[in-house]
Amino acid sequence: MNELAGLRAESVEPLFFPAGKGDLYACHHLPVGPARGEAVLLCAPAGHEYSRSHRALRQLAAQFAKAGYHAFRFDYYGTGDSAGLYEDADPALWRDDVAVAIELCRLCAGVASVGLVGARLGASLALQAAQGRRDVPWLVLWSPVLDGAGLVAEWRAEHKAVMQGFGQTVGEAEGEILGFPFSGRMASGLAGLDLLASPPAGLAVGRTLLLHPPEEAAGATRLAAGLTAAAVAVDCRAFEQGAVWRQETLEPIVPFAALRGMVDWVEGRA
Amino acid sequence: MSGEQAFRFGLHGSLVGVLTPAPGRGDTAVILLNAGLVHHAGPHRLYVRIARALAEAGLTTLRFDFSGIGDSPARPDNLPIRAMVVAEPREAMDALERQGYRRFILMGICSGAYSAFKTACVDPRVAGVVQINPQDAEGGGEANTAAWASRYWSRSLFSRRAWLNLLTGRIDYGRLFGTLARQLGGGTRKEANSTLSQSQGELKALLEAGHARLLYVVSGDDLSRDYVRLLLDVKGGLPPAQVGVETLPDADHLFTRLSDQARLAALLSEWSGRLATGSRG
Repeated sequence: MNELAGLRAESVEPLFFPAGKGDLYACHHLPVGPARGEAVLLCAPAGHEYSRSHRALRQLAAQFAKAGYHAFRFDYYGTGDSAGLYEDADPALWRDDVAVAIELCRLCAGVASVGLVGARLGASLALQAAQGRRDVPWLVLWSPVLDGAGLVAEWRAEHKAVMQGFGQTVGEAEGEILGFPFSGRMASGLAGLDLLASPPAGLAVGRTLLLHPPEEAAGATRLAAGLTAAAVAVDCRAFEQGAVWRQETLEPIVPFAALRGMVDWVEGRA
Repeated sequence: MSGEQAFRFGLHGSLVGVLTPAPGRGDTAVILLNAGLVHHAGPHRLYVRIARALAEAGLTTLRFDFSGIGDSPARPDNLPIRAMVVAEPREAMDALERQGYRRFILMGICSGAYSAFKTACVDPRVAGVVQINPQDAEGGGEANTAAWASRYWSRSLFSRRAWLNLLTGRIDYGRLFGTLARQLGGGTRKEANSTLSQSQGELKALLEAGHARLLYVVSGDDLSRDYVRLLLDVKGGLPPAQVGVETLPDADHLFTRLSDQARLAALLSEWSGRLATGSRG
């Protein structure tokens, strides 16, 4: 009974906040127990990968809150519960949304610094949004998209396979990918994303955890080298399991060990 | 759609939802219930699209997460899940009632359909139930097995794609052979009939209570099409004015195609709008 009394309930505060083109939805996971003087902002993947990753990112936020951090998740413009249509968005707009969300974290949590955790395209956006800022002490980049054109090719191949499984024919350049519109502005925005050709400059981030699947070791190593050259300490690690963005939407598995490993790294324990 | 509101509600103040208010609102509100473990934005953001379409049609709409799903933390009271999926839509209705709404339309895909139906069975505030691609959630899933058998014998046998899938390994062999084995054994049919009879009894009781109209929406490629056909095969029939069935022939279980998403949103807006204004159309 005493042990149960010692457990603190998880508390999530949903909210909307103003950003460039409309209000964005966010969830503030309040710290359980004494709060640390630092907040964490989670940056989600995009498109169909968003839904598949939602449960894992929500649990990651809960893990950070349990460790005493103010943890925030939010939806980019045109995604999730945020205002707007997906077809009216592009990566540049979402990068600006990350910057506004960092300000929200600082304001709501009353802290001066905000660590960023990004998954897939969210990791690429987090890295870009950190440029020129002095209030982002660390980054966790969970399988960042290094090459936007490669991402589009991967998405189109999966779309084709899934739709053929439903007995439908698929054109080569359809205006939709796995349940989401795919606009020209999104296509050109992603085509312009190449973190290896144009590595981020002006980073004042102290340290970065770069997590990559084994098959992307070469690209991750090149990105790590670019970041190291920019005076960022990089911890580059492969992960075998935890590509939550590739799983079935209705059967989301939460890779707790991988999530716990990220929190431990931020806390300096791993 | 501007003016959407995020809020917490429920017995423990822990349920997280987003309200899309309609301009010039009436006394009827719509509540969207989770499709399985997919959070309240819905598969492919479909619930957001539906909520905004319904609001444009004059119906305030709430989408929220059951405890332990999406943005809502787990309940502190260990309520069993079958009780929870009835209790929490009622807590949502309580919250909206405090804002002046009196009648509610509950809708959901897959398990959300089950929750909508079960809640309507016990709460007379529910004026409409939309079950989108529902499947058997009672017993050990025997009615789903019967639905699979019905699908294999009535559709797959004559489908070029089904044969192609069979020959290229793109099917669930375990389910196919398990279904056929259980069919040959004969036991599942009896159990399925029992499960279906129970669900049919609840359906008849709900319709006799008279407070709710029902709409089943099924995708042409989905098992629910077979399940609903079995479910509605009730001796003596069901009152057609209270039960409607709509089929979206090309859609899959979660409405991946944008054109199917648009058709679904339009269908739900039209049906709900008619119900809210009392028109039988």
